[in-house]
Amino acid sequence: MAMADTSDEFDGLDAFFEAGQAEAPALSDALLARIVADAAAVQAAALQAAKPAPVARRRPGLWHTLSAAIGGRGAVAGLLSATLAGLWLGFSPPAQLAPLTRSISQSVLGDTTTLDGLDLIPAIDTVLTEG
Amino acid sequence: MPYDALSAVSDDALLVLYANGDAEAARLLTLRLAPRVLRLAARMLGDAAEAEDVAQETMLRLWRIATEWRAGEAQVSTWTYRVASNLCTDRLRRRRPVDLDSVPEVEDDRAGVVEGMIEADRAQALQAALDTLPERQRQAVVLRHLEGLSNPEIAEVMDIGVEAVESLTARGKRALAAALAGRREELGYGDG
Repeated sequence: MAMADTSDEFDGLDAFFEAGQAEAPALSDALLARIVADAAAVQAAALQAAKPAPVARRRPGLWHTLSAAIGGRGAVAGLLSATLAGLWLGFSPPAQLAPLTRSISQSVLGDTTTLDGLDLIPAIDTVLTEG
Repeated sequence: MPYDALSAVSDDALLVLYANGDAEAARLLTLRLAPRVLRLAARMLGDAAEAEDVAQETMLRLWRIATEWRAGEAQVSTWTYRVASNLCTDRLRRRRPVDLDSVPEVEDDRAGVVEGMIEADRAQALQAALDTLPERQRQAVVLRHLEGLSNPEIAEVMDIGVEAVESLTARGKRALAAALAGRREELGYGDG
C-alpha cells in the first residue's frame, strides 16, 4: 500500500511504513459487536419511523351489518333487482300476462266478479254491523 | 440476504440494503470500513481505546445517514475517512493542553537489543514520530503511506486541493525522516 519514494531524503521511510502497516490495530470482535449492535438499533428505529401510522378501525355500520347478514354485496344487488322487476311488472304488466291473470281470477272469483270490481278491503261499517 | 451474495456488492449498494432493513449488510460494511477507520484513528490519536471510540462513532454516523445517502455522490469509504478525521481532530484539540507534556519520548537507550528488534518496535518508533507531526501533516502522511489512498482521494477526505496534499505529505515525510534519523540504524534499517 505504501507508495515508494525514490528521493534520497526519504530513503528508509518506506521500511517504517511497512512496519506500521504490519502492526496496524485490528478490529476486535467486541468492537465489531458494538458497531453491529448500533447498526441494528438505528435500523430498527428508522424502519419504525418509516411505517405509516396505523389507521383506526371503524366499527361496521348498519348497512354493512345488514349486507353481511344477507350474504354480501352480490346478494343485496340481486334482491334489489328482483324488487325493481316486481314493481315494474305491477305498474306496467306486459299484455301477454292479461289472459293468464284473467283465467286465474275467474277460477278464484267466478265469472260474476271481475278483478277490477273486487273489494279487497271491505268498508269498516260492514264489519261493525256484523259485530 | 446471505453473506456470500453480498460480498461482491459495492459499499453504496450495501448502505442502501442496510437502509432497507437488510441485517447482514451492516456487518459486511463494518468489516470493510471499520478496520480502515480504526487504523487511521489509532495513528492520528496514538491511543487504541480512543481509536475504537472514534471508529464506533464514525460508523454510528454512517448508520444514521444511511436513509439519506445518495448513491454516486461520494464514496462511502471516503466519507468515513473524512468523518473519522474530523472526530480525531476534535479529540486532539480537546486534549492538546494536556498532551504537550505527554508526547512519548523516543527511547534512546536501546543499544544492545538492536538484533532482537521486532517489527512492533519499528512501528512504535513510527507512531512516536507521527505523534510529533502537526495534525494535517500526520493525517496526510497516514492516508497516503499507511492507508494507500491516492492524492485526489486524500484531497477529498481533507477537503483541500491535490497540491496542498502533496505539500503536506512532503513536509510530513521530511519531519518524519528527521525524527527517525537517529533510530534507523538502531532499528535495523541503517546501511552504515
